[in-house]
Amino acid sequence: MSLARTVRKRRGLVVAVLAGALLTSACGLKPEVKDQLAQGGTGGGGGTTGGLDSGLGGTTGGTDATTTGGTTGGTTGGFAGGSTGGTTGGTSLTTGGSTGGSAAGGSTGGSTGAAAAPVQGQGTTTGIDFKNKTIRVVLHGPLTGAGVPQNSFKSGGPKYWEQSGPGGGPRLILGGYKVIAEAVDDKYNAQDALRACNAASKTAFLILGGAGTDQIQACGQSQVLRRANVPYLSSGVTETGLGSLPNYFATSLTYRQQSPLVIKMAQDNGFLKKKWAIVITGTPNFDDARESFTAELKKVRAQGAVGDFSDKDIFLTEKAPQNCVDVGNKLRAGGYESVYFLGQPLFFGQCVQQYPSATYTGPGPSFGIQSVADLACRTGVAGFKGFYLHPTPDKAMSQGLAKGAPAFTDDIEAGIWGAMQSLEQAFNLVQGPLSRESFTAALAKAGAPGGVLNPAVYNGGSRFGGTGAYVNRITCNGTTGAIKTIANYKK
Amino acid sequence: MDVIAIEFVVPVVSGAVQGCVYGLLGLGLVLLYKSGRIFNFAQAEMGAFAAFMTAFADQGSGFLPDMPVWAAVLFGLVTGVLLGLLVERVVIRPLFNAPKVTVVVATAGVFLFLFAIEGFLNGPGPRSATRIIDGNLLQSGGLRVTKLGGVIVLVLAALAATSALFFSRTRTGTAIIAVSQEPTATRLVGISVERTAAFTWGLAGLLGAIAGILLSGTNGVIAPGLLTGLALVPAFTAAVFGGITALPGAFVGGVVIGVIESFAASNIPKTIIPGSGKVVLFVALLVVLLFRPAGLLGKET
Amino acid sequence: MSVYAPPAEDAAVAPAGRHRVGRSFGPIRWLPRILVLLPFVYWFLYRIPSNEAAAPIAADACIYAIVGLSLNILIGYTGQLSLGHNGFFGIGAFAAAYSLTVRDVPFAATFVVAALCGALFALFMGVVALRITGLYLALITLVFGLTLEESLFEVKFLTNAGAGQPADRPEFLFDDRNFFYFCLCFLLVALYIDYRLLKSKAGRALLALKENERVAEAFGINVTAFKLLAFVLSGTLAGVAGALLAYRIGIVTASGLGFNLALTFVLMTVVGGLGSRLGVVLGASLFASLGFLLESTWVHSVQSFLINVLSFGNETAKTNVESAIVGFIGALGLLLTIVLNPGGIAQQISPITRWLSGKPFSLHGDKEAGPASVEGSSVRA
Repeated sequence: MSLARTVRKRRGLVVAVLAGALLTSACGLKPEVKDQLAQGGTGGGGGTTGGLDSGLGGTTGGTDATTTGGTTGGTTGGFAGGSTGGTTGGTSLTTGGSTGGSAAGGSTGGSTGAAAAPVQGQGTTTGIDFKNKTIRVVLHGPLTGAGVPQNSFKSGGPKYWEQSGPGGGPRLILGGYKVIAEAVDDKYNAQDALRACNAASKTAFLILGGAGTDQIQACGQSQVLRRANVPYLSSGVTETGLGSLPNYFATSLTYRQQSPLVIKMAQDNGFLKKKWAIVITGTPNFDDARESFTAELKKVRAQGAVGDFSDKDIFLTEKAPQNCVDVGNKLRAGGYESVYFLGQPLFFGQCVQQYPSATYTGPGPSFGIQSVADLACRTGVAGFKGFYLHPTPDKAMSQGLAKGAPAFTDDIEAGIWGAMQSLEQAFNLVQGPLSRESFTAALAKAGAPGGVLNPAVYNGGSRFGGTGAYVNRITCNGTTGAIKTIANYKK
Repeated sequence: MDVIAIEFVVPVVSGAVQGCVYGLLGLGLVLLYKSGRIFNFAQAEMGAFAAFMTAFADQGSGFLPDMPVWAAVLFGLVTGVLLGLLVERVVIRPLFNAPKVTVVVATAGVFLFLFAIEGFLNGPGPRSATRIIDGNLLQSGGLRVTKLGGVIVLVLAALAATSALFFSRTRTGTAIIAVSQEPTATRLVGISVERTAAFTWGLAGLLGAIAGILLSGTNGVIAPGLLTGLALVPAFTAAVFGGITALPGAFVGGVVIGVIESFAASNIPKTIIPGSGKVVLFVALLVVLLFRPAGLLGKET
Repeated sequence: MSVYAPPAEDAAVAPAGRHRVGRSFGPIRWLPRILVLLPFVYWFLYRIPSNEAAAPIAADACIYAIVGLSLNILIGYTGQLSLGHNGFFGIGAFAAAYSLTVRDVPFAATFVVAALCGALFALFMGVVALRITGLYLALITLVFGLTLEESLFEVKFLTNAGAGQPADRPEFLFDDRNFFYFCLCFLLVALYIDYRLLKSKAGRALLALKENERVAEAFGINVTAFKLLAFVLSGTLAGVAGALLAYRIGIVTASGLGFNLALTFVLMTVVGGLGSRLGVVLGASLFASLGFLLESTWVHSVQSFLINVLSFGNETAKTNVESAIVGFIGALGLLLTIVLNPGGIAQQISPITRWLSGKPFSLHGDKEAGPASVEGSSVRA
């Protein structure tokens, strides 16, 4: 009582502090944001007026520079030359270009080779900080909401760009540019994902979809991203509504593409002939996964390879079910032995708890397998086993790391590390100065050879470029889950 | 037989066990409502906090030493009581004269606060919960009752009976009722209103902790906010359904709510009515409140 | 305790003395007040919206403020605690998105659809509220909101289930800055409606209802009609706000409209100050922008400092703390406000608002003129 009274006496102070905090927080935006603002504004203006001049100068400078250095040198030189030429009056453009080219070309160009450094004013270069030489990319994932370790979503990117370079140091691309990968929370729902993506499009060069089908689809279809030409790369999930987007790239197999491989995996590991159930989230974005797998299962059933299976063996769930009591009851009652599961990791853990005796398979919870396996194993379900198609195998995990870098904590971190590896390959494909447009064009024409991930091949065609998937087997090793890669299936 | 077993017996049995969990949480809600006309929106999260503490102590993670299960559970229960006392002292007591809406919102604030603290200690991800007992009581076909489920039923029955006796037979129990009805008069008689409130909240903390530890055990995993999302609203419904002023009402209400919810969820396909469990809950609550506001076991006032 | 008295009347009946002296000085009295207000107007109407990152947050603040006003009609004026406003809000959002995307209804008309749907569901809850009152009403509205979230909002052909129902803005609103001004217009209209409501007989009837329904009835107030009116008005505003949110984000999903949102709505209204228009708007804006303020303004360094303190330099703890810090600060602020200042922000800033409205500056003010009847019995059990 007396405490409250003394504070009440000091109400004036509380008022002052609160009012002050509110006011200043509203007014004093962090310098970073202000910088981005200023850059966006002037950069845009420069793009229209200065862009033409420097473009002309750039090409001349570029050809000159290629003899001495790389394309990097060419464009840097070209830009310098172009601007000089532009100011002198436009007639001496070629001269400006060639001098500029030779001046800057030799020094920077030689070291980086083919890929080109970004140039202010050429194409959309949001997210590139020319002064500090950084490129900002944003990854969205369910840091909260799906029940997976959020630390791994945050640490996967920095682990690649900060710790996996030469000697365990940072990796630099495009002649000294550093990539800053930041993870933002999409709270495991499409609404918050789209909110986060649209906000990120103002500050990031490109956006990566970490996990979660509905969220990836919402961001992929975003008008804001499309209009600002933001390249959007995600792991393969649904194909609904993502097929013909100019800025979308799937870097691994979609669920529909995985369906025949799941059957093959079941056959190879001896659980195809068992009694099947499908447990899948009832979102329309999983319709293609469900329909294709059901079709595959019915096809092999017609060949006599599977026992009874019909549509009554498909169990749809809510987006984020609160427990697995009901589904668990049904699995137990039906005596199912093989379960194709596609849904939220936390829910998966609860189902394994409820009904541990089946072999769980499918794309699984496509992320967070390690934490889910740990959960299942620690709660005493020692007999738990699962087979998954997953882009990130343990073998590649060990291959991927440079000397001196810390080991991965789980599959999420390794998966994001792999995605960053492919991203670097994509950056290096770019011809001419880096911009959102040139990046998209370069990636669409070719693909990324991968490393930790299987190659992604676009070749100017479909953007569902995944080519293969690793088969991972999960068993319990005491109270932790052990993931082992046992095969690599090609599409 | 087989069809009946799957569509009737299984949901009824598993729903009844699940309902006892709601009832267990509902007991604490009833206690606080009975003693101070408070709807405590933090009840489930207070339980979850105790369950987290138990899990931390059990797994020896981070800041706590590795303890045997019984010590961990004891530690969790003690945290629950302390938490209840703390909430009463810091949040509820200063609001003694505030309108009910403010108190209700304050308990929601406590929920959010605990949610954040659990985030600090654990991160937003799941952690496997401590189970005081493993194994199945019976399993045949689709039907399965774990030993833990059996424990829950027993604990709930015992607690409901004890607390009913407590309110009608003991001096402290009657004092609590007296404070809730006539605080000023009670004070005149020489009963400390503050001490009574503190006692009630400590007890509510204990009940919450018991519920939280058992519930997270049946659920297998525990994460910040998970128990609130899972059981708070059904527990409220169970409490009101059984009669929010009658302690055994939480038991009866819990079982009824658990059974109808599970029955609806397993027999109404998601494609026809999504979330049918919740719809049934809403309808049941509406009907009870409209036609028998005192609940099944409550007295009309 | 005291029935809310509109500020204007308050000034009129106030005993003379210093007020009258002040009035005779006219411009001298108003000039400093206008000078103080001007930077606010400049910042909020020009500087913040012209920041690309802040404009969408400012739009959020407007949307939340409309919800706050809508909730204030029920909780603050009428004394009906509704915990199901996420339901009305979501209905509006889905109605707008569905009618625009699936039914090709013109953009402007989608707001009418959203308002009607919000009103219709609120009317239903209003009918329920005729029989069920107090905390029971709070409970049933809570379950109502949750039921909508898990059931109606998951019906595939209406809402596209988990995938979400898209709602694309028309061309002229594509720019976030324009969209902010668009939302601001709606907020101003909502404020005007709220202002007119309190001025009218209906408003006084609602306040009387809050004090004591039976007494109000004895004075000839039609309890049924006015209760329903409050619900319908509240539902309409919430529905429109929902529609704005749908366009603000571009997609609506059920899982974004759950229990936490319902809580947030009530919390921001209470923290803002029940019964106070300005307080509610400020409280709502604060909650809408809290995450942004903590991440993107100078407050971020305060936050980083806090994170370091709270995590004791432990790396794992640090990541955990980072992910929960926004919620922590929000919850802490909420508890402090409620326990120390049950009148919310409105009570805290009342010296300033009183001064701005033309009265002499005094830190303690006269409590009677503050946000009325916060101390009264708002909801009875």
